[in-house]
Amino acid sequence: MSFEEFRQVIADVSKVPLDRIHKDASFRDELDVDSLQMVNLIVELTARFGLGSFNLQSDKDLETVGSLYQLMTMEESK
Amino acid sequence: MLSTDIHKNIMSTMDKTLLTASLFEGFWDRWIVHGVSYHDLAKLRHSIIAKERWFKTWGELAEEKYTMAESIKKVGFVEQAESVYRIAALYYQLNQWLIPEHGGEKLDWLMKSLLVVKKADQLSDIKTEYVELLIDENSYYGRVRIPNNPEGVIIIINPIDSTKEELFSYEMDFVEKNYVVVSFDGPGQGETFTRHGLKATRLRWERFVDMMIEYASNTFPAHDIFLFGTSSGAAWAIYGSGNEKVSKAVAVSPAFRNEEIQMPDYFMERLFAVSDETIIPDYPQIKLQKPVLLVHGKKDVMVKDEDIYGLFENLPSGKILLEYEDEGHCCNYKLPEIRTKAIEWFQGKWGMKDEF
Repeated sequence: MSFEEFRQVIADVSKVPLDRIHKDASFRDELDVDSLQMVNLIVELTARFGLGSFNLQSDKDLETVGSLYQLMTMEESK
Repeated sequence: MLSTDIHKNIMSTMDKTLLTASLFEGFWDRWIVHGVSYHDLAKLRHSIIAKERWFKTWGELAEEKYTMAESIKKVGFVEQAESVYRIAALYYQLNQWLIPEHGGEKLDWLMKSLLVVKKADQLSDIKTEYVELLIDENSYYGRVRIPNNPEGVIIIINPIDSTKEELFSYEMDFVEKNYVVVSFDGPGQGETFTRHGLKATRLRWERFVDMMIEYASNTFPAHDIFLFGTSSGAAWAIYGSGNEKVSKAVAVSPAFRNEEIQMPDYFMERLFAVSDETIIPDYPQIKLQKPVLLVHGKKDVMVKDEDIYGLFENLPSGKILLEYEDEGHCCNYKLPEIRTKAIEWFQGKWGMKDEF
């Protein structure tokens, strides 16, 4: 999963313009993605890219676009 | 390091639920306030990602609690044993809850939970009756707790995704304050759904609430009847406040039909398993009659402020709006306080106009 593909899914699911989605963007404070939308977003990403597993170190992994991308591609890159 | 495993590309409702449970702390708020221990959860939350693991984990923990309750009972600490039995039953509830479809394995786990709940009930000083109401040829299963010389009757209206046994802490609080507690599984809920697959419809919910009130009124004719509901249960408590036999109703975070709110897929799929249509009452159609205590968490992402304020405007006199700045849906962490305030309000000791 490339970062561009990842951004596109976020834009599709969250209805956020693509140009606002960058690595440091906070889901809650900048993209207005609340916890309910976040659930759907992660489910969609997991299903669409067939992610087998990923490791959550802390809830901070879910705070920004970059941290979520890192979380979801960690296993892929092994 | 915490690890999750998902079946690639195929995500059933259970897979989505498990993923959400493993990643989102907020998912567990409801279960924590209903009695799941932080300690048990902290050990397990991120590792329960396959359904088999979920069943095994909660099943083993339930057995552990059950054994603990038996030991405590043997040495004579009856109250503590009752409490631990109820936690064991709650852990079995987690297993039946995960499965959206009725019957089969869901029914097996539910029956285990109900057996343990009965053990707890047998230890209690408070009498428990298990009641089957026949409404339009469908069976509805309920439990009624009856203290000596009760001050009134509280009907708990459970949210659609919960069961009467899950909300045992509500029941215990109200019973300890000397109120009869009536709690049934409605259409699409708990025993009523799991035994016979009775799905929720709006009409069935209307009949169900009407008949619970009728049952309480006929069985305890000398007592005032109060309603207490959270989420969709709160919406139905508001519906019930239109019944002349009800004295007052408490509605915590009542659900609204609001197309702007996008609920998580797993939750919607769970709802579709128990209902083919929207089951929120049509508020403008309700002939609101009796005072309502409306409770709202300002951080609720499922209920909008404007919906709450619009509803409050239309409630009849005697209404109160109680808001919590830092609470979300169902004001989970303020529920013990809310139940205390509710009792005081029922008794006319809190919520007099001058206080607001």
